[in-house]
Amino acid sequence: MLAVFFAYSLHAQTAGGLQIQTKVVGKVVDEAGVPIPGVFVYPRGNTQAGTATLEDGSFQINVKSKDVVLEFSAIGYVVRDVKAADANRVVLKEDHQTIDEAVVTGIFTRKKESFTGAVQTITSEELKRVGNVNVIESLKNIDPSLLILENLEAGSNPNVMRSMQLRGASTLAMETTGLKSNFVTEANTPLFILDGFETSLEKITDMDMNRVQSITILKDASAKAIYGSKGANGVIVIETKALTGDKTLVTYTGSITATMPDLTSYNLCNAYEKLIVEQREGLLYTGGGLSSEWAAIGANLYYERMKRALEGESTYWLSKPLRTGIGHKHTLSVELGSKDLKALLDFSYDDVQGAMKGSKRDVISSDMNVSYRANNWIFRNIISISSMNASDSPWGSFDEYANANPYYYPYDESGNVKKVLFGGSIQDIYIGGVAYNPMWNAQVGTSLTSGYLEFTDNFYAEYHLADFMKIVGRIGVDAKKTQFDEFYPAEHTMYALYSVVNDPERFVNRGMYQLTTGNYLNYSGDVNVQYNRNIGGIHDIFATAQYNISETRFDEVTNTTKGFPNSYMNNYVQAKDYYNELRPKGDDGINRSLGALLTGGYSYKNRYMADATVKASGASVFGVQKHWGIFWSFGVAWNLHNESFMEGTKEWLRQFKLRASIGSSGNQNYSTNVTMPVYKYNNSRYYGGFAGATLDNMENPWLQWEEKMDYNVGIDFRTKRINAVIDAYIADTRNLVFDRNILPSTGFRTMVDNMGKVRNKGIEASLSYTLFQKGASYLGVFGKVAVNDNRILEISAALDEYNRQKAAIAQENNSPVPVVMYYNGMPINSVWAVQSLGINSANGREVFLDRNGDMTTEWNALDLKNFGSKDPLYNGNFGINGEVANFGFNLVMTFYGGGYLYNITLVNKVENILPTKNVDRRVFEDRWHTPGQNAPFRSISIDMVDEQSWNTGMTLPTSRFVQKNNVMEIASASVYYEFPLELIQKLKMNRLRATLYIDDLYTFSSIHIERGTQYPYARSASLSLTATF
Amino acid sequence: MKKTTLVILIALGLSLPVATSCEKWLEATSSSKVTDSQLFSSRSGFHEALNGVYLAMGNSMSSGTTRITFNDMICGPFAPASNSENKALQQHAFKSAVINKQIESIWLSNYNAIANINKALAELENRRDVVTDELEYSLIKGELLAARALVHFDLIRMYGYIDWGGDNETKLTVPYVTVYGGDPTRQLTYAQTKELLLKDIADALECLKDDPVRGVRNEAFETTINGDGYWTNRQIHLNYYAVEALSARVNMFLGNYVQAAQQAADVASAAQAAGLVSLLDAEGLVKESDMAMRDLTLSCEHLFSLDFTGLTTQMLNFFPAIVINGQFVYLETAAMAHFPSDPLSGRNDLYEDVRGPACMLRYTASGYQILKFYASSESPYKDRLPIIRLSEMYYIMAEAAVLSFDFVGAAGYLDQVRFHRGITASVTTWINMSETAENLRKDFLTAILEEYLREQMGEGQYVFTLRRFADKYDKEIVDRANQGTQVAIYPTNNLIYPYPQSEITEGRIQDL
Repeated sequence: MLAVFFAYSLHAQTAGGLQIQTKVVGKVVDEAGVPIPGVFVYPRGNTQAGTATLEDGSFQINVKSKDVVLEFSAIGYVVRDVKAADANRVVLKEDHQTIDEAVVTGIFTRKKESFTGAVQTITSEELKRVGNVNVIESLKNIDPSLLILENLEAGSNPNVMRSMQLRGASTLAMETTGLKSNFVTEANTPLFILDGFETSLEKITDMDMNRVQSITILKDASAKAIYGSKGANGVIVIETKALTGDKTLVTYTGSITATMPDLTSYNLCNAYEKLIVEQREGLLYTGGGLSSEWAAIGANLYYERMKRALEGESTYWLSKPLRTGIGHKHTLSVELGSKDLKALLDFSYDDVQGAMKGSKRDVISSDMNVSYRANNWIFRNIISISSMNASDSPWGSFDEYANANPYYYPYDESGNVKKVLFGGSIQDIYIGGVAYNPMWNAQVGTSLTSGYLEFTDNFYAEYHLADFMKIVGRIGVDAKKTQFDEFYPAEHTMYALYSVVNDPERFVNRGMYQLTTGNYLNYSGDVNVQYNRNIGGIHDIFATAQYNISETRFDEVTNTTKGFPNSYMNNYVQAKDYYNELRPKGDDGINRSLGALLTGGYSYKNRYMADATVKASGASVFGVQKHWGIFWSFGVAWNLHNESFMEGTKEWLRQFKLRASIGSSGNQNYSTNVTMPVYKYNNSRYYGGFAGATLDNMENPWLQWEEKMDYNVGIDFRTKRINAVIDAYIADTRNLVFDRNILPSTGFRTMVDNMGKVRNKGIEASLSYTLFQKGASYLGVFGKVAVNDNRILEISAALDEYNRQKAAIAQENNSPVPVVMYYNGMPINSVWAVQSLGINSANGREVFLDRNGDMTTEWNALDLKNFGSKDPLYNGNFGINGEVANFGFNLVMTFYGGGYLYNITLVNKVENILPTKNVDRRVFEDRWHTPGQNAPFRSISIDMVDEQSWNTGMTLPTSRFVQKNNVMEIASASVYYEFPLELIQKLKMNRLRATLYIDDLYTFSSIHIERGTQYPYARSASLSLTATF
Repeated sequence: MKKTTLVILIALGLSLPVATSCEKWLEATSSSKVTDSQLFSSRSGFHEALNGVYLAMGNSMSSGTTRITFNDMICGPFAPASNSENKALQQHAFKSAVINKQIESIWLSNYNAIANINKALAELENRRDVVTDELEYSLIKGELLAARALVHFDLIRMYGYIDWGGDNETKLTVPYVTVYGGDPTRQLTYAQTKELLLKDIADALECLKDDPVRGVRNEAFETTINGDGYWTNRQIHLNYYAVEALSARVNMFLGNYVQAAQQAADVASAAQAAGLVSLLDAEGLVKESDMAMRDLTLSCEHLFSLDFTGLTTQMLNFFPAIVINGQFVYLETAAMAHFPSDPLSGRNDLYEDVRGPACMLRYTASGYQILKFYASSESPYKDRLPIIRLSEMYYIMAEAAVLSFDFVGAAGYLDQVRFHRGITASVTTWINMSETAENLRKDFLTAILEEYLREQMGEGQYVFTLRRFADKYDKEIVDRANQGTQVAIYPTNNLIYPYPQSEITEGRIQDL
């Protein structure tokens, strides 16, 4: 905001002239009476003569006469025209559409009209309108170019961070060996900048949404090249609320959220169906040929179970670990201040309760934003402290419940939870196996918790050298301590097999405690000089030079102990011993970077614009020979609507801009230590009493960043009712960082190297249309779509060896999970499977088509074929919103499609499943069991004789389970009511608003799949109240 | 104007530190790992890197399942294996997935040791300012060069021919790597590779000529450099005599038996005189009643052994102290012919030779199991993995004597070792000394090969001698020495391990 002010204040200086001027003084406030700084004020049609409001909302402008119409515009507010005579107090209404006037890049702020980059700016209002969970969940519903990937295992687990990619995946997934630190960022994650400083996805996920002022997504080179070697994955810039007026304001926002499990994707057998399946598979209840006596016991057991099933007894296990989680959050923010010294204090508490019992995440945070101005100096300091405490459900993984047989009953006669559902003796295996009750583990004190305490302090100092030039210095510190505790007491079912008789050694060591502690510390600082000048009302020149420096250190240590005889001895220090002589494990790293930036822009009469950036980035993660990289960008734009020949369209056309940009940026989300030779000490093996060090890796001193070239063209088109943005891009990532196989005669198998090229190309379009607007009432529709096509180009021959090994591993491991291989011209995330011709109706066996086009029943990794990309080809959202008589509503549908999914949960639930576990109903209905039957699923009983040989009957990746992945979701629906002014004034309030949200209401999918295998998906409904005093 | 000047000054001030010190500043690494520049900034770092080389050699000896025994499994007199892996080895099914993986891992771990050697050698030259003492510099360099020769020598013989002459001379062998880095080293012919090997050994000997083990006491070195005793325990380092012994071994393989015998004789006398080794006191060995406390690897005779922490545990899977389900390797009673009885005296070597059931072979229901690596964690003799034994020097001398038809001399050398193994009877008691020279030659060579087997069983070296005898001498000799062996060793080229597939696909040629 400050930057906006200084960017535009110069207009006032240059707008002088010989004409007689009238001075207009006024103030701009929002509907709650809160002053709005940075509002651009100019006589209509003469932007050169504009000014901007100060932090208290006040402005001064010289106009020819009091009759001149002034136009007031600001981010997030409806543009308003007011006669100069009436401008002493101007009330701006918050905008329901994305009408954004400034681009916040985290380093400088530019007026959007004259910026050439592809950016998406999201206001606080917009963000809150599409969800009340967290920033990331809301972003998912706004900009489809940011693809937040489904996590079919973790479902709606509040403690699992989402994976995401902006404009497609641009790097190959490296296989990490050993312990990967929690501080290491996923390779495709965009860069997050909070108030000008780099931050983590976790911080953004946990931050209080009410603090957000705006979010800017920088997509193309013109916008993100300023971040050099860190910008390739795109940059998401988040600005927190700035200080406004000198009036004391207190805002309270509170909400209560109900999270309800969504089990519509599950389709399991009931007791009767399961028993029929068991009989058909013919494995259980036979007594395993042990003796006729056991066969009889088995048969009896079966009839008894069947009898009870027929009487209607069946346990619905899925509901056992679930609940409706009721969470709540509260934010209290206080603004204080005088003209020179201002403060914004925030306190928030967010308690998220997941859909599984005991699963929660709560965050307490407090922020203080203080600013002081004196003469030409402005100082600002933002301190933020947050504490997070999370628990994973002690009820265990959700699939344990999905696997539990419905004919088991979890409670004993007196209604207590049983530990053993069935069996106990070795022989029981032959009549169905031993089954433990997963519910038991929640009763005995299992505990899985994590937490962190994070402190950040960002300090800003600005010195104004002249009205067109300033120096900004920034220093930031981010310190974080993390802890993960995992405790399983002796009573946990994982130890149920051991008794003091059969295994005294293991028996006394039952119980496990794993403690992981971590530290993270980041310092960063930069100094920049900003120049922003208008010459003669014709030339706008903008330039910034910056130096930045940063260092990040992290370390993480895991200790595992054993021997906790009971659940009240649940402290790490009460362990009997370290776990099987495990030494402490850990990871640590240090990343340093330096940068020098020069960026400039020029605009001629606000018609023709050009931006150029050069950034030199140095980073320690890259090779000794390649510490420095140069990144650049160049962009041009043409504001057609400002052309004189477009004069006739002034009435209705607000913006018609053509943009084009080209440039480079880098990606450095990689582990350190691969660029130099690193020695490791083997602590368990000394040599003659002396320590010894051996080489740990083959270094690559020439390793450099992945370099992304972005080419982007775009159109911004806006009328009073229509707002359309279309972008087309090609993004080539070169020098992909990858573990290259090297000859073992070098002493090592792999070396991290740069190779090949990946191309993402796509189109993004967004359109919103105001169907109706009258006064405060309106009705609008919107739709956005992003299409992205991902291909590997020019992959190195070294990857052939990688692919060959992958195929060999696939053959050897007998794993049902498709392997990842990389070939030219194919998407990075391809699905690899063997072409299936279906199930032979005569014997229930699968028939494959091999690489020569012949039929075979043997699965061979050499026959693997690419069946499309896992990533969706297109994704987007559409919806409707409106407001009438203080009521407002918003509905967002999201969709994606064109990708393929290997339905591993189906394979594992229908074919690769032991009949001792509960199965999908499709086993009951659709699996081959009689010769001549046409069935989509193969028989498995023929392939196996006993439990051990199940593996040989495993269904390996086959095209039968490659399915088109098209999904549409009712992502967010909300209704709000703005209490009328008369009422709230009686309550001594400035504003009162209540909102009801419903998130993830329903999902339509082309695939019937168990979504959320380890943690179910959930819907949430939440009621929120905002009051300003 | 003043303000603009200020800006320029600030900009310059900022750019100065950036321009000067940032390169260094950007070389950051994590603290749980140590970079090469950190390690090689002190003398102790060089010691640690040299130890790392020996540890890596130890790793290479225990790669595969256990390379030590892996090499023996393909030719040793072991009973048919019950475990499928060992069964595949005995059938030389090197292409089978599980065996092939182990062969690849043997290759990789040996070359990994070489990478460690080459890196340390390069740093030694770069950091003359760190290792300033001439003697210490020479010792480190000599040991590294010798280690490079030793590892390559085994690699060449495992993945190639034993006989490097004749037709084989111009064939390509495994790469002899002398430079550390990610780029592959070109393959050379046996003849060219031999030169590199001999040069490394010669250079090593030159570097080690003032090895403290040779008795030249350097007071300054002892007090300043060797204060912590690093250079004292020479048996577990490639000392001068170990390298000379290696040279004798190489010469014997190359057919230079006269030179080999000279070197062997020098080692045998000088190394004992210097107190590095002494021939075993067999009676003393047996006196110790606790088996686990006995010096079963005969460490007093190790010219060079690797300090291998956990050797007993490592070998348990192979030669277990407790017999589990027959999943171990053992000798059938028939194979005990290698520990022969004495027909004249009626005494039975079998029960005298400490390498036999007297100590190192334990009778079980299935046969005899090998106990030589068995040691209590309290034992002062634990963790010693023999690489070059003193006895080999006597065998070299004996073989050279036989080739010169000096049978009395040969018997003398063999008997010296035999007596120190507790065998009272001379080798001549079971060799008919009145036979023709040709038959005597055969008998003695058989006796020598059998001595190698008794001495080196389970240490990964016997296969090379066996292949050498098979290539060089009559089939009959090897057949006799090979009694009770369950594996077919002819043609001996079947004992050559295939190169790793990844080397082949990158254009390596296994010239067979």
